[in-house]
Amino acid sequence: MKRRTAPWPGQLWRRLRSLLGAALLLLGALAPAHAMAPDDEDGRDSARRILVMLHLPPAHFQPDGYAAGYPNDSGRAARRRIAAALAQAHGLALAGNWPMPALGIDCFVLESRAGAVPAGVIERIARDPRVEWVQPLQRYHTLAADPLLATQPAAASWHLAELHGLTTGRSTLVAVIDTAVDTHHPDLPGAVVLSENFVDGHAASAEAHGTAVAGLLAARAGAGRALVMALRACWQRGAGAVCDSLTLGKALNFAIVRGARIVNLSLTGPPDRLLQRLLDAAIVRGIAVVAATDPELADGGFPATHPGVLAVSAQEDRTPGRYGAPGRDVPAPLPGEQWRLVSGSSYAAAHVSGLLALMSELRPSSNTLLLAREIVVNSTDAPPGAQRAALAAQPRAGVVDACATLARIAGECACACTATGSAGGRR
Amino acid sequence: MRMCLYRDRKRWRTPLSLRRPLLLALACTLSLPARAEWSGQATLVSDYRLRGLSYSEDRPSAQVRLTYDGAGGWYGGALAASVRQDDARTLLIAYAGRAIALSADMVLDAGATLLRTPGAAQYQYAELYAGLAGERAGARLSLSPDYAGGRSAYAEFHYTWPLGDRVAIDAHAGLLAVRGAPYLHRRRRDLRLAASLALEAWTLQLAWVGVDSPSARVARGSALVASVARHF
Repeated sequence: MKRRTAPWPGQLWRRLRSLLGAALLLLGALAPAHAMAPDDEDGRDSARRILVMLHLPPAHFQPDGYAAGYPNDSGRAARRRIAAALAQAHGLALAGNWPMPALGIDCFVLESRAGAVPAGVIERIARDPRVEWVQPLQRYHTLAADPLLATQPAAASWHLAELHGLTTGRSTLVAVIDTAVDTHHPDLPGAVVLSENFVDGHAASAEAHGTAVAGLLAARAGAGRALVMALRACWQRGAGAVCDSLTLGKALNFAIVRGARIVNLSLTGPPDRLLQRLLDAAIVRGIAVVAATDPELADGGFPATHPGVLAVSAQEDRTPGRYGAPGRDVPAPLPGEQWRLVSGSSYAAAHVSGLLALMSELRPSSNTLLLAREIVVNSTDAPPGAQRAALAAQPRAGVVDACATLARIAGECACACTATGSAGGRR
Repeated sequence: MRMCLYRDRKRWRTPLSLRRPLLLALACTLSLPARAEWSGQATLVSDYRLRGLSYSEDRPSAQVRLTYDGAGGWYGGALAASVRQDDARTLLIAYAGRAIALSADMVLDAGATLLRTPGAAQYQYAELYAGLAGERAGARLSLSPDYAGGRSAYAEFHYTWPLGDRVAIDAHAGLLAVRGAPYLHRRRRDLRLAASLALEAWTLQLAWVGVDSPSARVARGSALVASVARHF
C-alpha cells in the first residue's frame, strides 16, 4: 500500500511561501501614501517645485468611532482638495504631500510641468488665507573637501580606544541625515538599526558621504556601540552630494518622531523656513542637532547658524564661535569595504555627534541638548559682533577635548587627562 | 442585538445646561475664517456600536460627519447616523471644542457633545470631555450631568500601532460609571480592537467589539464590525 506523503514540511512550506509572496505583492501594489512623482532625467530640479504648507489641525475628538478619534486623519482629503485647487489656479500640478504633525502643517509639493515656477506665483499663493506659508524648494550640499587634496598630518587623536573603555555610546540613537549608508561595511555591523530613503527617483545604493559620516560616529572597529538611524535625504552628485528642503524636512521630521537623541547634519545651504521650524521642534524636545559649518561662508551657513544647533568646524580650519573637531585626513569607511582619508567639516561634525553618543550612555536620562553644554573645550573664543548671537547659543565653543569631556561626565580619567575641565567647561 | 438603556418610554429632560455653551462654542468656531478647514466623512458600517453597545440592532448603519477646524485649535461638527432605537431612526451628535498643542507631540483636547435621538428622547444626553492625546496614545474623560436620568463618567484609553503608511492597529478600552440612573448598572466596560487600511480617500476597517453590560438586553457581548469610509 502506497503511503500518502504528508504535506509537512516541504509542500506546506511552499504553500506558505506562495501565500507570503502574494501578500507581499499585494502590499507592494499599494504605493506609499505620500509618494512623490519621480524626477525627470535632469534630476531634482528645484526651480520647478515649490512647497505649500497647509494648516494641519491638532488631533481631536471625533464622534464616529474610537479609531477615528485622536489619530485624526479625516481632514487629509480636504487638504488635498485645497492643494489641488491651488495648483490648478496657478498653472501647477500637485506632486505629493507629507504631513508633519510635529509642526502642525501638511506639506504639499506643487510643480510646474513647463520649466521653472513663474515669478510671483509664490507670493500669490501665500496670500491665500488657507495657506500657512509657501517657500521654494532649496538645494543643500554636503561638506566634504576634495578627496584629492594633498594628504596632511592626521588630526590629533581623540584617544578613542581609551575612551571606549569608559563608554561606547551603547543604545544611543543617532540620526544621520545624509546620503545612503553602506550597512554591510565591516566597520558597521549591527550599527544601523533603521534605514529610510526620503529621496524619490534616485536609487538608494550605498554612497560615500553617508557611509563615512556614519562610520566615524559609530564604527564598531573602534568599539563604538551607538545606534544609527540612516536617513537618506541627500544623493550623490559627482564628487559631492546634494539634498533639498523637502528631503531634509522629511528626514528631520522622521528623526523627531522616531525619538532620535542626536541628529547629525553634515551639510549646508540657504536658510529655510520648513527646516528652521523642524530644528526648533527638535531642540524643544532636547534633541542635540549637530551641523557642519561651511568654511566658504563667514557665518558658517545654515543650519549651523540656527540658534541651538551645535556648529562644528574642522579644528584645523576652525573660526571663532564654533566647536572644533578632527576634520582633516581622517580615516573613514567607504562603500565596498574600503577606507580612505577624508577631510571636511562634515567629518568634524560626525566626531562631535559620536562624542555626544558616548556622553549620552554615561547619562542616559539627561536631555541630550543640555548634555552638550558639558563638552569641554581647550580654547576660549572672543567672537566678532556678528557671531555673538550664535555663540550665545553654544557658549563653550572651541576646540573639543574629548578626554576631558568624558572625564567630566564620568568623574574619572579615561585617557590623557593632564588637566580637568574648569568651571564653565574650559581648561 | 438590541441596545436598550431603558425599559420604559419616559422622555428625559434635555440637558439645557450644556446646550448653550455648546452652541456658543460652535458659533465661536464657525466665526474664525483664517486657515479654516471643512472636512467630511461618509461611512457605511455593518453595526453601529457606541461604547460597545449596538445602536442599530446589529444591522448596517449609514453615517455622515462634517467637521470644521478653525484657527487656534477650535473645532466643531456634527454626525448623523441611521439607527434603530425604539422609534428613533436617526441619531445626531453635535460637538465642539478646542485642541491645544501642549508640546510637539501632546495635545490637550476639551469640549462638549450633544447626542439626540429624535423619537426616543430617553437616549439623549450631553457631555463635557477633556483628554490628552499623543501621536499614538490618548486618554479622555467624559462627564454627563444627565445620562439616562443619572450622572455618568466615561473614561477611555486609546492606542494606535502604525504598521507602515497605510495600515494601523487600534486598541480602545472604555469604562462607563453611572450614578442615579434607575435602569442602568453602575459600571460597564467595553473593548475594541481594529485593523484599518487607508487607501487615499478611503478607509477600510475591521473591528472586534466587546462589552460587559449585564444591564443591556444584548444578544451578544461581542461582535465583528466592518466599515468603509470615504473622506471628503
